[in-house]
Amino acid sequence: MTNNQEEIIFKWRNDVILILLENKITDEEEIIKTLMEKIKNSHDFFKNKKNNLNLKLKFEGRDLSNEAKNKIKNFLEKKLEINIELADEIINKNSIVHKEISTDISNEKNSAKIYKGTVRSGQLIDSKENLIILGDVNPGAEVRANNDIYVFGNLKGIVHAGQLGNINSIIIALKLTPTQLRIANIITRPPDFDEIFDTPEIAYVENGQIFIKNYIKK
Amino acid sequence: MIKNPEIFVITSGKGGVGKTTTTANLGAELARNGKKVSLIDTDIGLRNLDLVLRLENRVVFDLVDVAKGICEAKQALIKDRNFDGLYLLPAAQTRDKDAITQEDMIKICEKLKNFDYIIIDCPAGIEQGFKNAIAAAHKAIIVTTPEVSAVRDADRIIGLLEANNISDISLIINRIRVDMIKKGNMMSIDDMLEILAVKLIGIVPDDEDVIISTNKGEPVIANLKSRSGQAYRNIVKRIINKDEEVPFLNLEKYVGFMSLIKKFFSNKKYREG
Repeated sequence: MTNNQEEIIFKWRNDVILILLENKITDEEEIIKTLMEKIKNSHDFFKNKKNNLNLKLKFEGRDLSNEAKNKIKNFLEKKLEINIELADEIINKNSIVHKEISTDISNEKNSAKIYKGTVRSGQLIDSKENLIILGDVNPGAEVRANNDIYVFGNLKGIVHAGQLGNINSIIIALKLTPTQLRIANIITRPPDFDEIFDTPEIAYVENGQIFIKNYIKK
Repeated sequence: MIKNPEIFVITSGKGGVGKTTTTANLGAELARNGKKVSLIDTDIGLRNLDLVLRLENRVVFDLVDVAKGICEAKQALIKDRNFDGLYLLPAAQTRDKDAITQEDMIKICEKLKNFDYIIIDCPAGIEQGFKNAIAAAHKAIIVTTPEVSAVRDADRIIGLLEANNISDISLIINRIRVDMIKKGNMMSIDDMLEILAVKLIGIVPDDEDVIISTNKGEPVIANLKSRSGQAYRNIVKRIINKDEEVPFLNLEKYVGFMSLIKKFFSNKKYREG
């Protein structure tokens, strides 16, 4: 039990109680139990902020069900005798990782082929897993993967994510200006005259259509 | 409707003399004249024709896919943005010339039955790419520029074409500069015809409009003011109406005319000043 308690870390971030959960504990019931015990033992941690009225509670590192979150919240409220809000919707302004996306990425087995350098016209980079390009993909070049594709550079060539039909595949590039963009069996091309955004963008499929949006949440 | 197309190959031996530009312009002008035209880019690995026509982002299937039976020829054809009746069968970019064979080319051209013309853009060189490009062709159009190296390569190509039983060979001389020929700094048309001894079907002046239109993705024939556009339009007239005599552009007259305009403007300026 003590071992498990070490997997949980409490932190203050202004008025937010941040509870960092390690991935090692898998059972939700066990998390709740361990957490409650740890809260009991960490009297000093909560003592200072007891008078604060706008306390918020946030979990990181692992997705918990709403039921579990509420259980912990109620337990804390009882113990500290104050109101606490769940703060899941508060996302750090500078945080690049979008919530749904981060879960999407971790769905895959997290193995990726990494290519360093510029992919030039006529070159084809193919990956059976995810694909990471550390460089530009020039016009006339083609990058394909069975799952996601991440390009840390300017993506100007042809890109095909989820080439065997994985419609949940995504494409992220620091600058997304492809000649043609394909996810699974859906093909799009940019309009002939298009605005070019100089920010990272993500392409994904929703309702059988490819959407592209800014990857940095504003 | 089965039309049994006339199949042209545009070739040169030397690179950079204007094969792709010529292919795009002849195809576009034929289409403008109501013909149904298919262009085939055989420059696998260094494809450009889709770029010149600005169809790059529409390419899904290519020549290699058709040859390998991954798709039908019909599915790989891309309709042009500007000219009805103009279609492009693009080359693959991530493969090489050996990805298809001569037999593949013949089979593909046989499938394109309902076109009036098929124009095949040949890669530079005399290797597999060249052999593929000429395999299905009935007629050849040689493009050359007034340089000894280009003419030498054109001569070599004509020899190879004749060895492959393509006897209908015509010549386009590209990038002529009359001022340079006059000064004796450029090979004259007669010099070139004397060496190559094939029928001349067009002379195209050196013209910035070609570069502008290539970068814009619109063939120069659409520019009615440009001289090179006029030259290409004349070539197409000669292709369509085989018996009709279409006079060659009088380039000297044009130079005279230009200087006249210049004089006029300078006079005007003088008067205003």
